[in-house]
Amino acid sequence: MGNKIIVPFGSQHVALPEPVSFLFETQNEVITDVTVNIGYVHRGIEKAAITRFEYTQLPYLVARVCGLCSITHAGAYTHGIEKLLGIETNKKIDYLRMLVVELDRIHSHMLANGHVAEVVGYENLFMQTFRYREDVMDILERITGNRVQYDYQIIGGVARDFDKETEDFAREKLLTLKANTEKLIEFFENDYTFALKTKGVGTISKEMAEKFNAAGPIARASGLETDARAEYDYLPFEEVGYKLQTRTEGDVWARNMVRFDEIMNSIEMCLNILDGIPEGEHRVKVKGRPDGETFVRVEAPRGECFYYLKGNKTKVLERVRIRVPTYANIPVLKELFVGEKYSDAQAIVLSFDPCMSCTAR
Amino acid sequence: MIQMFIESLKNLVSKPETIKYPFAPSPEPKGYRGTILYNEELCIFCDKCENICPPGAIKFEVVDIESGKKQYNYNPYLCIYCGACVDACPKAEEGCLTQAEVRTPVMGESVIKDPKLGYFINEIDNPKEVEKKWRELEIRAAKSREELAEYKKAKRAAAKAAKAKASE
Amino acid sequence: MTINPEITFFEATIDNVVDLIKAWYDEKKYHYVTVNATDNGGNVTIDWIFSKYYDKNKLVVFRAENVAYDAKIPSIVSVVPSAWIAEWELADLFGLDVENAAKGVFIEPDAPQAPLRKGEANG
Repeated sequence: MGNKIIVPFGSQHVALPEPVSFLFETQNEVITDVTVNIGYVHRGIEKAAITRFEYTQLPYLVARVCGLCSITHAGAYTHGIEKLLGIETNKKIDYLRMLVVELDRIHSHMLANGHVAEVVGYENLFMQTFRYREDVMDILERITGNRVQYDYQIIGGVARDFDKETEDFAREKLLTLKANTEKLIEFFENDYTFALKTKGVGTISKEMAEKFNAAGPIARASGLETDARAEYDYLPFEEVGYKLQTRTEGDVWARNMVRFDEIMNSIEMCLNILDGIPEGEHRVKVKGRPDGETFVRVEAPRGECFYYLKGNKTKVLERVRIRVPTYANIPVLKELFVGEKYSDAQAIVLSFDPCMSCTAR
Repeated sequence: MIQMFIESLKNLVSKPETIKYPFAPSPEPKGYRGTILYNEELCIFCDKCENICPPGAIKFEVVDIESGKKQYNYNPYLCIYCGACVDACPKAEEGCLTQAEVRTPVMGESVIKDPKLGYFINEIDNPKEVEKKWRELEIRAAKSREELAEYKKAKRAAAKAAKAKASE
Repeated sequence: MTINPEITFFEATIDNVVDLIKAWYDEKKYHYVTVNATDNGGNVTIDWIFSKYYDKNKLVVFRAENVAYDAKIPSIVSVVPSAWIAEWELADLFGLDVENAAKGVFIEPDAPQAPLRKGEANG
């Protein structure tokens, strides 16, 4: 019979990069109950979007909900508003938007894998991953002007045009990145000590993923085939070589491998897009006011992101509802902790790739 | 094992990946989004840049009610450098509102001074007063616009009354 | 391309929505997205939103209209176990009375309560 101790994996912790707080009830180092507390960074963005800003200024506000997936929030909002205003975009705009969305996915997945390596104890691998990630940031800085907040998708098109010099620069860096990523995959897949800490830890079976409606790479690592790029037609992904990647084991190691598979697929897609950008204008004319309601689902690097917009012919919208993928994965996380050892808690939380500024917006 | 020794020797003689900023310069890349510069002679005072700015960093203030003359005020420490004002300006290609490719220096001990940045920032010297004076400017600019609108309405009503009287 | 989802609407009221969803929901075919509330001045409209696996561009919405501010809203946790987090958020931000909701998770006790309501004044 052991003692019951309550241990906080709190909002301030050495291994935790996000402001979330868990209270574990443990008995002999095995967790028996969890209390979750989110909401440390609530800024009231949904309320500000319907009182203080007009609908033309909202792509800039909504992009600042999160730092890593900022292009998906701006993209989802512009897709919704273009439906309400009745604007049709041409093929060149779609290809340029797809290019920046896929580059954003590459850099976000490399950051997530680097952090898992860091908390497991392998700090050298974390440094190498971040060094190779700098190539992607250089390409993004040349295309959009900034490393993190792109401000690239606006209502009616994209902000800047794309010329030949940028295309040659991007292609050269992408080929270097491909060779470097293959070196990294060899480490993550075959290393003996890394496998001891990540294989068999935090397993989610396929039935559990279906019962709790998980989203994103977490569901795909357990064998559930769900992806908003395949289920919802918002950009022409099939034309440039998109494939859905799954694995069946469902533990921390499998989630890392799914992210690497997606990185290799995204590099292929970016090279195909660079070979086939059509001619045309990079912006379309915008007029009118939004009226009606619409539902949008896009694929962020962490899962499926959902937007609901409602307008009534004035300059200020009536309702903006945002549901982010980490929000949908927190119930799964709460169920998963029961029965695991306390020392594995860091690897499990970081393999879920949490983004708390999206969750408590 | 041998692989490990070869890698270590290679790392001993190669260059580091990082730049030793601020002792070495860190240049901005091509196409960087920097400070917004304004040219007063080409401006037609259409107010499109003020209406689109998301944080409200551009404010026009009416200084002379009779002639309707406006002055451009810009706060580079509130701006988010998105470039929406440059897109919205109808005279941007002739050079009225442009975005430079250098970054604004950090506020630190002194406030930035440049004739192309408008009236507000060239009149302040103390970095601790920037926020307070900007709040006062916002209130003053909103009030001056109301006074201009009322003046125009009164002038229109007086002109209509005079025309109705002259046609009797 | 512009988006064009095919949406199927089902009319429901607060009393029968749990039975309707229980009769219709199948774990292997449908995917729960979220619960949403919109404020129309004096009353609230609540949507329960689902989508289908393996099928393109389809959404299913259960809509309950004209819900008063102090009505008791049932919880669908017995059918969909991961729905508790969206319902707690509605209880916090709109001030609604949802079954088994814990208040104070998103907003601190000394902040303005029920900020997303437009009807009466908040304290």
